[in-house]
Formats: sequence, C-alpha cells, structure tokens
Amino acid sequence: MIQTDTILQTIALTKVYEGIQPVYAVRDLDLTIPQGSFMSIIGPSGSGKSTLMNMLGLLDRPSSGSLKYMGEPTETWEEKRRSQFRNEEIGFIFQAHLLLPEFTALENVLIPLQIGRNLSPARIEHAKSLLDRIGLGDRMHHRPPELSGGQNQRVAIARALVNTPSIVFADEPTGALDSTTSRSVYDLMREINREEKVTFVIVTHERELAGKTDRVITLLDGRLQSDEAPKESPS
Amino acid sequence: MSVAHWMQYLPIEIYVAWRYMRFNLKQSFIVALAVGIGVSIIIFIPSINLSFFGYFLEKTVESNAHIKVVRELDTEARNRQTLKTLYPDEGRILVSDQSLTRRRDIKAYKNLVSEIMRIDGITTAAPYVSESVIIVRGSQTRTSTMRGILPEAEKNISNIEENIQQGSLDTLSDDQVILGWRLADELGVNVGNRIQLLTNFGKKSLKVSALSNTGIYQQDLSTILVTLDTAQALLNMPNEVTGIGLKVRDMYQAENLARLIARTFDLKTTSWMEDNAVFLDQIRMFRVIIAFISFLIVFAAASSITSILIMVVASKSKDIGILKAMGTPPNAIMRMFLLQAIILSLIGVVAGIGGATFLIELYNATPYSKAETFLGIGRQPVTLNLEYTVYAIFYATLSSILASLIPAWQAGKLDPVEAINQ
Repeated sequence: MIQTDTILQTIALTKVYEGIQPVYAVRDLDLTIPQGSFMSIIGPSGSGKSTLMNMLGLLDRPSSGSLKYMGEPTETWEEKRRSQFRNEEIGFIFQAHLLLPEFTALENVLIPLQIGRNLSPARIEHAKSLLDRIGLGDRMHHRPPELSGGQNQRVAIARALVNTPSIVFADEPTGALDSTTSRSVYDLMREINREEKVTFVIVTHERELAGKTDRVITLLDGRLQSDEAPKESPS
Repeated sequence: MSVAHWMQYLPIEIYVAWRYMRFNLKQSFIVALAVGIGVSIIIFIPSINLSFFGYFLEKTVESNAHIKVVRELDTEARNRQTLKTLYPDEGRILVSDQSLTRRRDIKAYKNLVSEIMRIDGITTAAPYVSESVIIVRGSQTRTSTMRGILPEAEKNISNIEENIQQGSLDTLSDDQVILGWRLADELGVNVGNRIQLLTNFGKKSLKVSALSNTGIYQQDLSTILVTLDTAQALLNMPNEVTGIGLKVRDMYQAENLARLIARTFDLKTTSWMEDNAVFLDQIRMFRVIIAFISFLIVFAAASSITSILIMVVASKSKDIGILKAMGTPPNAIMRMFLLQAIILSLIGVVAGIGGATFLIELYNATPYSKAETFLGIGRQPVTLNLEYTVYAIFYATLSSILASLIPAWQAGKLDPVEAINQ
C-alpha cells in the first residue's frame, strides 16, 4: 500500500463520445481524493458516474484531461502497466453476480493473487481470514451459485481486498441486496476503511447509502454539481 | 481438501482455461470429438490404402528383378551405322530394317556379371535368356516365350520357386523343362511326359519335371522354364544371354543404380520403378487426394472449434471483463483460449489415434469377401500408418491453434467496461 496524502487527482477529466452530436459523459472534472477517504459519487442515471468510476479505476481512458495516481500521470501508461496497477493497487466491487461461477468462494478471492503471481501459503491464509471476517469461513468451498446474493457480494469484497489495494471502487455495491444485507455490506466496507485505511469510492444512486459516507460527490450531465460532507455523516 | 491446489500456482491463463474446460464438458467434448473424428479418418484411410499399395509393390518388386540389364545400347546404333553405308536411303532403313538389326544378346556376360556385382548396392545378379519358341507335343503346337535360367541365381531374384508344384527348381537339369500348369493342361502333358522345343537353330526333346502355378492366368498359360545352357544351345548363342536380372539393397535406389550401370557399361537398363511407373503415379495421386480430403476434414473440425470458442467467449465475456478489471493482461486472456484449443485438440488427437487403431482392428477382424486374392495378393493385416499419424497430429494441432486465433483475439481485445455492463 502506498502512503501519501492524495491518492488520486483528476484535472479537467473529460470523456466525450464522438458523433454527429458529441456526447459528454464526463466534462472538465477536477477532483482530489485523499488517501483513506470513504466517499460516494451519486447522480441520476446517465449523469456519468459509472463512466467516471471506470476512468478512475483505469478501466477506461479519458478523452482529455489528466488522471494522476500518487502524483503520477497515468495517460502514458501502456495497457500492461495499467493492468498491473489495477491488479496491485485497485480493488473493484461490482454489482452482485460478478464472481466466476466455476470457482469456489475462496478460489474467487485468490484470483487477483494468481493474476499477479503473488500466491503463497501465507496469502492463502490471509484470504481465508478475510472470508472468516466477512462471516463466510464455513462457506469458502462453495461456488457462487450455492451462495446467496449477500454472501456473493461479501466474497466480492474479500476479492477486492485480498491484494491489500490502496483504493477500492464499488459500483452499486448494495444495488441488488435487501436492506439488511445492504447494511452489513456497508458496515464491512466502513470497517475495512477505518482499520486498514483503504480508500473507498462508492458509486450509487441510493441517497441513503451515500448519506453514510464522509463525502458525497454529485454529478449531473457529466459535470460536478456538488461536493459536500453529508450532515448525518457518522464520522 | 487441499486449498492451495498446485494448479493455483500455475499462470492464471492455464488455471482458468483448465477450469473452463472441466465445467463446460459438453463443449469440450464436442471440440475434442470433432478433432478426434478428423484425426482418425486422416490416419485410417491412408493406413488401409497405403498398406495395400505397399504390400502390392513389395510383392511385385520382390517377385521380380529390381533392375533388368537388357542389351548393349550401341548394338542397334552400330548396326544402323553399318546399314547406313550399305543403304544410303536412310529413311527406309529406319522403318524397315530396325527390327531386323536388333540384336538383343549380351556377350561375355560372365565378366559383366562380376563387374556389375562390384557396384555398391547390388546384391544379386541372375543372367537369363528369353526368346520365342515353338512347343510341340504330338500333333499340338503352341508358341510361347522360353526362359533359360540359372536356378540357383534365379531363386534369389524372383519368387519363382514358391510357385513350383509337383517337382523342384533345384533339380532342373539340361534335358528337363518346367511348364505353366495351364499350358501343360492345354497340351495334355503331365510331369514325366516329354515335349519338344523348336527354334530357328534346332530342336530338343525335354522331360516335364515340374509345373508352375503363379495364380496369374496369362503366366500360367505361357511359362516355359529351362536351364540357361539348354536355352543357349537351342538358340545357338553360347556365352550370350538376353538379359541380367539384378537385386539391389535399397529398392528405392534401383532407378539411380540402373542409370549408373547403363552409363558405366553402355547397356540398356530398366528399373522396377520405370516398369511400375503407372502404379507409383497412382500412389502419388492417392496421396494428393488424401491431402485434399484431410484439408476438408480439418477445415470442418477447425470451423467447429472456431464457432464453439466464439460461443464460449460470448458466454464468458462477463468473466473475461472481471479478469481484465482485476489486472489480467490482454495477452494472458488470449492465451487462455488458445490453450483451451490446444489442450482439447491434443485430447482429440489421442482419441483420434485410438479411434484409428480401433477402426484398423475392426477392418482386420472383418471377414473377407469371396475374392480371396487381388492381382495374386491375398488379404494382408493393416497397420497404423506412421507417416500419416505424425501428419495428422501436426495438422490437427496447427489448425486448432489457427481456429482459436479469432475467438482468442476477440477475448483479448474485449473492453472490460462493456463486458461487465452487459
């Protein structure tokens, strides 16, 4: 994990889809994310929040503007470097059902380690303890179809954390879950953020979930509409 | 249950490819089956046909001389030269006198045989005389070709001995003759009876000492075998023969050695390869046809691999997206699908070789039809053709890799964002 004050910074970040009428998904966005933040990005659908998250997570390239990780511009990075950085420093939590169905819960969690060729008995123990911690210690040898939605989402969280990333992007992490399960998934993310100082960026359209984060970024038509700390923020 | 399975320590592409194949058994099975069927056909058909061709060739070649040294090349030319001085009208000579001037004898053949035997690669030589004669038995006459041989030498050149019935080749003496059994039958003679042979230079009464049965109609109707001395005496050509049969160590060197002998001794030679040129062409043609059929089979198998892998890539696009998001480089994703094709095609190849072996065993075990023999050859057990097995392995593996390139490339370039949002 890299220790620095600002983990991620964007300068005039823009994503435009060319056509007869160019569509700006994200426009001139300046954003600074300090290390250890627990923040959310909200906005109506089509506001550009997923596009923004994909660019921040190095899954997509901006049309213009700059994106710096720990002060280093990423625009010039080759695909191999981007892949390696995603593997080592970034964790992703997608909406439910994005585990590999042919692999058990534990195997799914271990895959980022295998991609980075970092598998070792100690790290396997670490993965098991992660699963224990999220309450799936006794289900680690089950495959995703044999687990509930909430359990699968927790496996996805464990997978996002197994490589001890600096930053985790969560796209609608509770979108497919009932309210009780949502609550426990949120608690887990919050706990890891506090204990491990892992930065969390949660993309959601649920105002309730966003309201629990320390900072809420609101997007509208690809532009930053507001950037504020919610009143009821628990921290 | 061991958690840290050893496979988990392999590169991610091998690990995932293996798991995909195991969990998509139906698709894996179809791919391996397509390759397996293709491979077994590519091996089976040439195994059957080339086994027969090979046996036929071996049989024909083994039962005859590899090389025949026929006559002095310069004889005809020399005689023509002589005649040219006698008859200035050259055109007429070429047409009318050529046959008259053809002298087929090889003089001083014993020296020649020992000279030829010194050439590396020549194993046996058997001089012979071959000439038309009239055969007389009572009021019956026939014309046929008499062959004068040295029984000891001839045995090493041809399978003549195997066909001798009611007597022996070894004991053939100067006043004896061996006849083809159909010829003997037509003449109404049997072993122990006498016949007369007539030539331009004389006649001789000979006792039938044995019969020859080759199984080939025309031969059994024409064979007249006598000793070399008898033939030379009947034709008034002592110390001359009309030809020398040769065996060589490597039968495929016959053509080269025949040319060498022709050049060195100024003789005319023919090799079994020239004599069987049509048959060798047939084998070559068969190989071309098999290559074409193989191409079609492999193309069909490869198409099935391509379409199935395209389906797999499509159905796994979300997984591919996740793997990419987690940092799997595009090349590793490509290798993941190439590997599946390679592994499945190898399984298919092994199954195909097994299938071909099974088909061959089945073929060998199937009872033969009424026709006991073809061209005097009985049914021979067929074995796996090694050349085509190697060829099938190579062809199947290569085409599987080519077939998986498009799906693998598609998987590699898949945009993770699009794949995940599907």
